Amino acid sequence: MLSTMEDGESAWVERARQGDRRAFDRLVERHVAAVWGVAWRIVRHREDAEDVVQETFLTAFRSLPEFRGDASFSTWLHQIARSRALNHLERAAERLRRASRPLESPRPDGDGERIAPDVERAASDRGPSAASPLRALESKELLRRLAECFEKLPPAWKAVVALRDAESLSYEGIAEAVGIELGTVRSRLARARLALKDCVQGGV
Amino acid sequence: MVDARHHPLDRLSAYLDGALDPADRTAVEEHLRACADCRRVLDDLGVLAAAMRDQAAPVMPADLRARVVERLRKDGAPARVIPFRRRFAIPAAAAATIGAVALLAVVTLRQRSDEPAPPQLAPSPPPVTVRTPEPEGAGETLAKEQVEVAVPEPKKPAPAPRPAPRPAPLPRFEPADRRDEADRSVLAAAPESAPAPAPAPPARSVAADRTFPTQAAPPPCTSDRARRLGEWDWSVRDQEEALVAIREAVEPARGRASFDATGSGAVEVLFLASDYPAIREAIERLGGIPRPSADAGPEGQECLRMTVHLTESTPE
Repeated sequence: MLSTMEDGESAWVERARQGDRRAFDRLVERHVAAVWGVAWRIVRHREDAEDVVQETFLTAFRSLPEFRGDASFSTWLHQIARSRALNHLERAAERLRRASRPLESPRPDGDGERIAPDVERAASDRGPSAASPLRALESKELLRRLAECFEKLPPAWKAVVALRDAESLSYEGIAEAVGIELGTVRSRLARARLALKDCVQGGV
Repeated sequence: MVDARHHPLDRLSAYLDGALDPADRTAVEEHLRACADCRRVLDDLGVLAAAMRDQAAPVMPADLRARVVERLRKDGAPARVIPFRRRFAIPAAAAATIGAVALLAVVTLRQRSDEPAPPQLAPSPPPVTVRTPEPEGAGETLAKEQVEVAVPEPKKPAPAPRPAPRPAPLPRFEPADRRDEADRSVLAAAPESAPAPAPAPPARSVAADRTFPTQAAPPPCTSDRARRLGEWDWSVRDQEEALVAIREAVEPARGRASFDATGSGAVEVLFLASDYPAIREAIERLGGIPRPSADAGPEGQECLRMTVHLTESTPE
C-alpha cells in the first residue's frame, strides 16, 4: 500500500516537473496540512505560519526541476518548510534590530539579540531557589503561558528551541539548519530554555 | 537569590538532551545529587520541552490550500524544463539585448582587427551565455528563464598579454528596459580601460564584460560549461550591499571565480569546486540560505555555478 502510494506520488511529482500545474495542486492538497504543522511548530504564529506555507510551496514549485529524488518529496518539502520558517524568523530578527523599539531592552544578549523586558528580567533573576514547579500548573494553563512566553523570545532563540523541542533535531542538525557553531547551539538553547522557564513561572 | 555561578544552569539544558561529554555529565550528576534546586530546574526544563513537543498546531485555515494554489497561479514560475528547441524562441526584449551585444562585439572586433596581429592563432573560445531574466513582480524571489546563444567563433589571432585593467566596476541591478544601455556602456568602455596591443578573443571579451570578473584575467570557469550546483535564497535590505558582500565572498578565489548580476534579482556565481567550501561559508555567514537541493560538498577542479536569489526585505 505504501509502495503504491509512493509510486503514485512519484508520478505526480514527475508530471509537475513537466509543468502540469494540476499535478502540483494535488501535491499541495496532499502535503499542505503537514507543511502547516512544520511551519507552525517553528514560528508559532498563525499569520507567519500561513506566509511560510505559501513561500514553501512557491519555492518547491520553482525548484522542482532540481528535485533529484534522493529523498522523498515529503522530506524535501519539509526541509524547504523548515528553511523558509527559519528565514522568516531571521527576517523578524532583522526587523527587531532595525526597529529599536523602546519596549525592548537596550542591552543585547550574548547572541546579539534583544529580548523582551519581562523575559530578560526573569532571566536575570534566575536562581534555582526561586523556581516553582511547573508540574503544578494545569496543562491548559501551562500551554497558554508557554505560547505567550515563546512569542516574547528573540527570534534566534525561538529557532533553536523549536528545532530541538518541536522538530526533535539534533544539535548538529540545528547547527547546520541555522548556520551557527555547535557550541552556540548549546549555549543559546540553554539561555532560551531558562528564560522560557522563568517567564512561564512568572505567570506572564 | 541563589548565585547562578555556583550552579551549572547553563549545562542543565544540554544534560537534558544527553549532549554533554562524559566529564561534564559526571560533574553535573554529582552536583544534582547534592542540589535540590537544580533538580527542580532540570525537572521544569523537561516539562517545558515536553510541552513544546506536545503542543499541537492550531487547525489549519480552511482556505489556506486554495490561497496557496492561487499564489502559485499568480507568482509561480514555469516548473517545466525548457525544451531544447524552445531555447531558440527568444523574446523580443531578449533578442534586442542579444542583438545589441552581438553588434557591439562585432564593432569591437572590427576595430581591434585593424591593429597588428600576433603570429599565433587563438584556441577555441567557449560559447557565450547571455541570460535574459523573466520580468516578475518586485519583492519576491525572482525566477528567470535562460536563453543560451552560441556566438560563432571567429578566426582571430591569439591575444597578447594584456595589461591589468583598472578594477572592475561594481555590477548594478538594472531594470530590464535599461539593461541594453548598461551593456553598451560597459562594452564601449572596454577598449579604453584595456588598450590591448592585440585583440582579445571576442567570445571572451563579451563574457568578461558580462560577468564582471574579480581580477584582470578572465576566470577559468564559464557559465556554459559549469555544472549547476544549487540555488540560494538571501533576504537583503539592499541589493547593492548584497553585491558588495558577494564580491567580498568571492574575493579570496580571485582569478578563479566570478559573479554575474543578471538584473532579475538573482546573481550567478561561477567558481571551481575547490573554492566551494569557502564561498559557501562566506555567503552563509552573510545570511544566505541554501535551498535543499544545494549540493553538500563537491570536490576537485570542476567548474560550478550557483544562483543566489536576492529578495528585498519587507519594508518597515
